[in-house]
Amino acid sequence: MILNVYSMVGLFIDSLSLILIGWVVLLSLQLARRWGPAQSAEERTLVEERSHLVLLVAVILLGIRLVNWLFFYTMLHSFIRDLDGAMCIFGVTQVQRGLTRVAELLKPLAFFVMGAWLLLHFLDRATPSSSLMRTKLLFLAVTGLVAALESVADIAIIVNVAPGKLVSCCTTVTDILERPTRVVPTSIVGPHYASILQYAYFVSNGLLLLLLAVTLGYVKHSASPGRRRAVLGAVFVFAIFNGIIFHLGQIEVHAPVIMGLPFHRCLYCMWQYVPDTILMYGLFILGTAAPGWALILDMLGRTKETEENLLRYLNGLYGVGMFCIAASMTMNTVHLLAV
Amino acid sequence: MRTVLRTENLSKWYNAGTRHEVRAVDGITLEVKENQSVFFYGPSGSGKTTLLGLIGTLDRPTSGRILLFDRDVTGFSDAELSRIRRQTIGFVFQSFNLLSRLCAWENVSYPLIPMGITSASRFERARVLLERLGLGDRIDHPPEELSGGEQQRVAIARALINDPDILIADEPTSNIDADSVTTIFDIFEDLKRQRKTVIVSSHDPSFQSWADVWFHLHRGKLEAQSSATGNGDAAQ
Amino acid sequence: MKKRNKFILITIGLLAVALLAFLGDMLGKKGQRFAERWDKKAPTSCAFDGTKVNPFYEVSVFLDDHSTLSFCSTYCAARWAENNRDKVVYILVTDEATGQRFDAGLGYFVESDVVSVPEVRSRVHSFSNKEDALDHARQFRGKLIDNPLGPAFVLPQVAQLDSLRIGTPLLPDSLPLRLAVLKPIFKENRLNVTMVQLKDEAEAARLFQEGSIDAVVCDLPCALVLTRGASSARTVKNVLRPNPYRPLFALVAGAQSGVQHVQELEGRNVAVPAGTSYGFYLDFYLTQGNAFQNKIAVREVKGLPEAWEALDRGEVAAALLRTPYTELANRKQFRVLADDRNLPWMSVLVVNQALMQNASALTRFLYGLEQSILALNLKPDEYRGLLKREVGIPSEISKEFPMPIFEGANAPSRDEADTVLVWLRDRQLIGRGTTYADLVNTDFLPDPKNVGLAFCCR
Repeated sequence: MILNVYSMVGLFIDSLSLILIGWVVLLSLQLARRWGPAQSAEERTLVEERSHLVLLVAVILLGIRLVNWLFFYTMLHSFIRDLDGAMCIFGVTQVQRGLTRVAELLKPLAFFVMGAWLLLHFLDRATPSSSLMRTKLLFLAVTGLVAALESVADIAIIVNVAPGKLVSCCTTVTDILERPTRVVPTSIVGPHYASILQYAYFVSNGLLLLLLAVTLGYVKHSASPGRRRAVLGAVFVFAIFNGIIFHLGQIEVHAPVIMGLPFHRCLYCMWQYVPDTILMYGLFILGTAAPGWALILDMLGRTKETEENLLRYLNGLYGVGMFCIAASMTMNTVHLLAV
Repeated sequence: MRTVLRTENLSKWYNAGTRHEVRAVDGITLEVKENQSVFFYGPSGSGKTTLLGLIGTLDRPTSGRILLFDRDVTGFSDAELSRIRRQTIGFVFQSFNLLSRLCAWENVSYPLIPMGITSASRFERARVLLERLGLGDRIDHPPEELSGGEQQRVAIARALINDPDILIADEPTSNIDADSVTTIFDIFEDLKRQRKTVIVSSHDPSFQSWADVWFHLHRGKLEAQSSATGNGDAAQ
Repeated sequence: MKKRNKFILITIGLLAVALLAFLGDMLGKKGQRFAERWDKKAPTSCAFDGTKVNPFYEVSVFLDDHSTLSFCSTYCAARWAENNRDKVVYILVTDEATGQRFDAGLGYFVESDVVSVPEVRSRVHSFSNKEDALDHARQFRGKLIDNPLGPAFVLPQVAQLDSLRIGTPLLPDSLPLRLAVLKPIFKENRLNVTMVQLKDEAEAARLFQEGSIDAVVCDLPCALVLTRGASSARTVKNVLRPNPYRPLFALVAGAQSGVQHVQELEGRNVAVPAGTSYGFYLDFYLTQGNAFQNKIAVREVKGLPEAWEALDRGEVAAALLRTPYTELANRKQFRVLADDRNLPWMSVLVVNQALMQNASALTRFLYGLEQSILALNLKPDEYRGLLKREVGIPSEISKEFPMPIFEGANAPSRDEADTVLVWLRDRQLIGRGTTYADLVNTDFLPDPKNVGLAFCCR
């Protein structure tokens, strides 16, 4: 374990998060059980009164986990000087490669689930009779579990990353199959994947924008909820596919160009040396999550009471999704042109 | 005249099914029309405060329904009820419930804070109301420097600050001196002249002459109701 | 109106992010990543006078007891070392042109108008490359001076180090050795290594057999021939292999030749650099492609640059090339008729009898070489400057030529050597009775798990 201010703070935040998450999950399950259609108004009031604190703690916790996402990378950065061979965060991630990969995947997943819950919460508050209370509480339990997993992964990394292992720079092994920074594009597409990825990035993002725009209009005028849900689902699936293209494209093609370092296929270096790309990435994640949130709201939040508000939320989310994807693309294009 | 408030078989029981069961309100059905002055009277323990708490959405019934402006609010969430209270109901409590750390105008303008109104605007509205109620020279005084009657007037001003559709006053004269009682009566007369819908509960029968409609409660039940036009009804 | 406001807001938002990206591009630390290197170290004080050390001008002295000392300038380091010369193994300074640390004994020093360390009023600047040193002198009214950290501190220790002379071709294969000399990893292992640049295989064989060089880096066929010449010379280590994306040897057809397959070379000219290894690969490719060498007009040329020129000018239909010229051919989209991307042969290190009998020196030499390879494989970007300048990469491809992946502690296996052995025996370049064991020795290879980064590379 590397002992420094960041790892200590990280451990504290993650441990505290785990304790609070445990309390929130248990209580939300308990309250969800007590809230049902047969319950009297008095009993529902009791549940409501107890739920205020749980929901408040939940919102604070989610905020902490979100901030922790940025802090996590700051902490990894602080480990660089203690690891032989590490030139940037990439080197640090190579100490416990599998574990770090899992932790990094859990973070956007947790962000997605937390955002979905928050939107469900707001939708519920907009209804007179809190018709989504039970769904909201159950979903909070699921969200809590994901956040707990994420905290555990962080703790595992803090405890297991230690000096003594020689790690590599991301430019190592730049041109053979088992390159650590790359998944499979060369083996699927061939050695000239870079230009293919470049085109794929623009085509895919453009298509997503178009899909979002078309679906926005469809959602406004569609009468059939079942069909609407299928369309929302399809758009989200495409958004995920686009996310994969974006991620690969950033690593393989854009990061080296943006940084001006031809063999440096490293997002961590890019975020470090060109910090506004963090915003670009954040916008993209938001834009990709928005259709997913719309789908989840439609699946979990549709009742007679919520129908009108739900439609507004879906429109809003798609609008946000479009703006964020467009903004991310704009930033990326400006960087590529300015090189 | 439209109905602003209706209850259907409204009940509030405490410790139901146990030895200590108390039926504070038991099966009350009533209607209040717009612009009416309504008086609930009965001895101590008759359920007046509980009933006002229910129709003011401060408490939840054990059974029965409450309809405000034809909307069944019985199953509404806490958040929704808070919104309704903020927008449509003004409540005057028996024990004033003023915040001791705030002066008179701050107490009066307190309900306006969640509505995002600026401080200057809140002060102005509070000042106008307090002047109307004869407290123009006491606006900066905290509750401890006010007499009982003055505190009650501040509480009434607070209840009126956001121009509610319904004003509910629970025993507004029980904790104040005799001179102040007259002042409070005058205020309620004034409200009646302004055609506000006012609901008052008290064990003081003097309010009968003021009210358009009065309901007699005894042991949680509605024993009788009558109106100023002289149409008396037995409890339903 | 509301829609119009929304549209205006969205446009403003997009313009704002575009501006942010533009500013980020201007202000971001692109291409200055080596500056980050300095952040890695905590600030130190000069061991001579306590001045805070600026990493750019830091002088590090590696001592006999494996400890190190840092100094703020060559001035302080020299003053300290005057009274401690017996303890000094090597001194590291920083090349101001590249930011690389290197052996002060190999450096060029310029005294100019620019003050490097104001606390001691030092105006001395260090460079590993003479041209860079002269450039600085011209720009800032300076002059080349004698190495202030030179012979007085280098010789006494050097005299106690084992001296080796290693022959290397002007090819990327020699990079680990060059790095180990420059850094100086070999000195850290108590070796004074001199590199001898070889023109071709003939010169390598001559110097090796004379004993003028203790070891040589060459391709496997050449190595096996060299080894059979001396009774205890052995191939001890692999250096560089081809991989599925980068060949070592390739048979390449010229752009105008119209040749698409190896068989179409019959009756055409093929430029082949002189040497056993080239002969082996040509034979192999032709046999693999069902073409016969006797039907091809082989034009033997002096070396790789000549073969490339002949091909590029269209004088020959094809040429047998080796990296880095295979990259050049790739860039110009010449047709590759055959290459060794999936073949098991490599370049290797061959050591002579004298070095084989000095087990301690050989062990340390191979250990130091491993350390150099580790540094290259871990941080390839850091040593790109050396790759561009020192190993004969043609200027047209120097910018994008990727850092090769050097082989770890390994020697050619029996299976890998067999085909080459058979070919050599058939051509009577080695005796029929010569076996694998007579040619390869793996006893001196270090355990990779025990190899760590040299101090000078951290």
